[in-house]
Amino acid sequence: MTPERWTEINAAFSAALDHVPGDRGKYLEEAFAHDASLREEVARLLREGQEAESVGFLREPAWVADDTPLFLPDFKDGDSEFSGIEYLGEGGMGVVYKAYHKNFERWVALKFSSPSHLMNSADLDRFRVEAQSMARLRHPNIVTVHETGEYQGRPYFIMELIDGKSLHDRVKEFVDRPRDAAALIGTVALAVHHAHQRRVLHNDLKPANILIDEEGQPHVTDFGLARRFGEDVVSSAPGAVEGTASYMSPEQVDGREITTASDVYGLGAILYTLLTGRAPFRGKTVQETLALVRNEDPTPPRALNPKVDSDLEAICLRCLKKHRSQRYVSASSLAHDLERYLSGIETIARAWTRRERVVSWCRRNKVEAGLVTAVVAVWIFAVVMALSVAQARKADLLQATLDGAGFAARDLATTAMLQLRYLSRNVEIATADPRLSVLLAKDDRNGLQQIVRDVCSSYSIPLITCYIINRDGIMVAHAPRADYMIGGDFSWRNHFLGAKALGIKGASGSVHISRVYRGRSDNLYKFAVSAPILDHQNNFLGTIATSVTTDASMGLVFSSDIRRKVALIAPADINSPAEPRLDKYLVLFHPGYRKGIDPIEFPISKIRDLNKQELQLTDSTAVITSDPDYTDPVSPVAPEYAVRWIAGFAPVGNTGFFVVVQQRFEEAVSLESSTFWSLALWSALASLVAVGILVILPWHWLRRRRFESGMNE
Amino acid sequence: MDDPQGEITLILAEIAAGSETAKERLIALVYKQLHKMARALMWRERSNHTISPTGLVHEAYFKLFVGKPLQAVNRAYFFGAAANAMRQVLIDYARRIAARPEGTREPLLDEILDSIQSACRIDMLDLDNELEKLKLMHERQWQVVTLRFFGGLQWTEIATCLNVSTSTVEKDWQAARAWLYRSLKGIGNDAGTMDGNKRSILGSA
Repeated sequence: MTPERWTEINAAFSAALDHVPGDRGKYLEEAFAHDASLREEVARLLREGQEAESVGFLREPAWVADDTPLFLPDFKDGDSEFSGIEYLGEGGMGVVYKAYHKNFERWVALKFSSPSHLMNSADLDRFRVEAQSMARLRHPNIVTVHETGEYQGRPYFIMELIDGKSLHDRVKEFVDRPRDAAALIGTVALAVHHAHQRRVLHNDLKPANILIDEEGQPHVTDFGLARRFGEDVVSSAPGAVEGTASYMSPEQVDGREITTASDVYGLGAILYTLLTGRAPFRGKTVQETLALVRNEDPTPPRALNPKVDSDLEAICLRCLKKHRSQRYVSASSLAHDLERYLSGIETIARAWTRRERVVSWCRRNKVEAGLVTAVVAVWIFAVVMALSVAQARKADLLQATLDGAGFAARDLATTAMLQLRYLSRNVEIATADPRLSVLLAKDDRNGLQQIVRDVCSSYSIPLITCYIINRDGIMVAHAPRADYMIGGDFSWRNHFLGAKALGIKGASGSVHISRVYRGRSDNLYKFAVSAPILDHQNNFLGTIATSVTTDASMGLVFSSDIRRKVALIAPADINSPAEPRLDKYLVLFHPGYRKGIDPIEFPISKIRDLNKQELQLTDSTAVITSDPDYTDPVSPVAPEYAVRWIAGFAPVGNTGFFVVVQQRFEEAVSLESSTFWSLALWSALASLVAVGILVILPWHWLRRRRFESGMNE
Repeated sequence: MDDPQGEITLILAEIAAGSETAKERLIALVYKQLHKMARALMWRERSNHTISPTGLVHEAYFKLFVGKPLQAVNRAYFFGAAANAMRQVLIDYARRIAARPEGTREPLLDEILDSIQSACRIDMLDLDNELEKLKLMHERQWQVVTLRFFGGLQWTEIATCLNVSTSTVEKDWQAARAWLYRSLKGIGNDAGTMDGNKRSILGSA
């Protein structure tokens, strides 16, 4: 190819390069429309350029990759204070050799600055000044500089020799041991802080600058040198900076002022590397890495290594904040936070939740936590035990109360039965009067009237009436005398129908206790004891009945006291022939029932089971039931009854009447259970005090003993 | 050459004054120094670390300029010269080995040639041939390649050396590299240079 042609191609090629890759083809089409061969030539060159790039052709200079300087100081025995010089490696600042120092009588590390860092005298001066400032630092975790010197115009310094590897070579060992990493960085941070207090910045903190001795102790090296050389390193030796760029602080990348906070960043970057096995930022090129350092947040360490816990992650990320005011205020502050983390105390970096605080306190105060746990456990045990005892007792009490109510109801039902028998006795006697059937057959109302008057007066109970109804249900006699009642049709009344049913069966001498009805004469609720009147051939002729007004307890005396309330429930009759016959019950007698109010309806479901029983009027072994959660139907009109009741129910023979005995649930049960509560509390308190005395006293005694024996030593 | 330091100061002053022959003399001087060192190193017992040519150049610089301040421009000139010198040392050696494979070996240079051969997968003599052609076509591009590849200089340093802009340097590099790639690929296809079959030229190192 002729130089002229090549120059021509080059001009077009160079112009095409000014366009982004996608537009180059289009540009060539337009700019060299007339010259197809030139276009083709440039396109080919572009293609080959890309191919060369992709296969890495000449990408790296022939020999930048391995930048080990050749310089070997050939000290000769006799004319030098060193002997046995041996190459160790290359640090950030230069080459390090191991040498035996004859005057010191020990092995030392000799560090000569890299030739590339000593291109002018100003750099040489800096090297000397910085070596001296580093020599001022005396700290167990900082590599000690013993002496500075010059050999063949080349400055060097003599350092303490650390037997071991740099942290860079041991990064992988820490990935599984985050706590060891935290402890190590804590130690390093204190060393860095020591330097900061003496106005020396490190500014090139990275794993390669931390040497780990045989005991695992870190020693910070290359102190105070990197700061001055840092920028030169970036611009002149890209290969050398690549390792460093990942650890540079954002302010260093931007060329802003470097402070102690930059070293805090570096410490965080090392910690990050130990926790995750990689540097916080790593681009494909140095420029890319620097851009990441400047703009991106590091991937949280926990995302890369789940073994790192949240507190340590927070500490690490706090160091790596872009803005230095958000980092730890000093390296010692970082060290102390790491110490806090290692002791299980809350860190500055991350506020704990209340739960974490409690868990941490327990972990740090095992004896106290154990004590508290034991006492609380004993206390809970005692309370639970007492409660269960109380609960069992409560259940027993409930059962006893229920049983008591049921038996009381049965007793009272028996009493009611006796009362009814007393009421029915005179009716029974009257039916046996031979005149009755004769008078009724003749419809001799005056005669019948005489009989009912006699029956009525034979009772010692007030407000009682007696009457005779013929077989057609027509009232023929009534005492006390009430002429307006005579001739009335009562064939629909339950007292008539019940006695008639007995009469048709031929059950002479039987009585019927009627359902409750509203009396026509006085408009009061009442019930009747009725019996059939039969002739000699046992033909039904009519009924004779005695009614008792519900007022004044109908002559039935029930003893309610403060705790136990007694109610009488009766089935309801219809009050006119047109009314439908419903199986309805009324509260006939109730201590909370007020005079003048219509009887309260009683929910039939409560006594349905009892109602089914086939009982005789005289039956004394009535089945009883009880309800631990009884609602009194009277409660809508008597608010003091609107509580939970324990109730027992008993039927009054086969009359359809029921006795209810009820007792307030709270009264029956709660009084006793509160006694058990206090029992539980007292027993728990007692156990607490007992455990406390048993555990705290010996423990305190032991502590005091230990303290005193410590004092004596 | 008993006083290389004095001479080099003089040469740099002449280069600064614009003398082209001074540049040639500088290259010759550095070449001599490098060659001397390479041969000396041959005999030195080295520890397990490898010696890099960059180190060699730095070392040569150090030997020539001990403790002397040097301006950035002079530094670039020096590295430019060193790059050329380095190239010359390697080419001469590769030629000699190719001509007389049984001749005396210089382990350091073997090592360097071998590293170029394996890292870049190119034959030194082929590369030199193509570079000579490039030099005739476009001398500045030839210089860019030499300074970059043999000298390991940064674009800005090369720009300083050649007194052109950095973007010019980069464009020169792209064009030259594409062209070299094409040429060497052609040779590689014919003679298998690209896959390292010509290693024998470089000897058994």
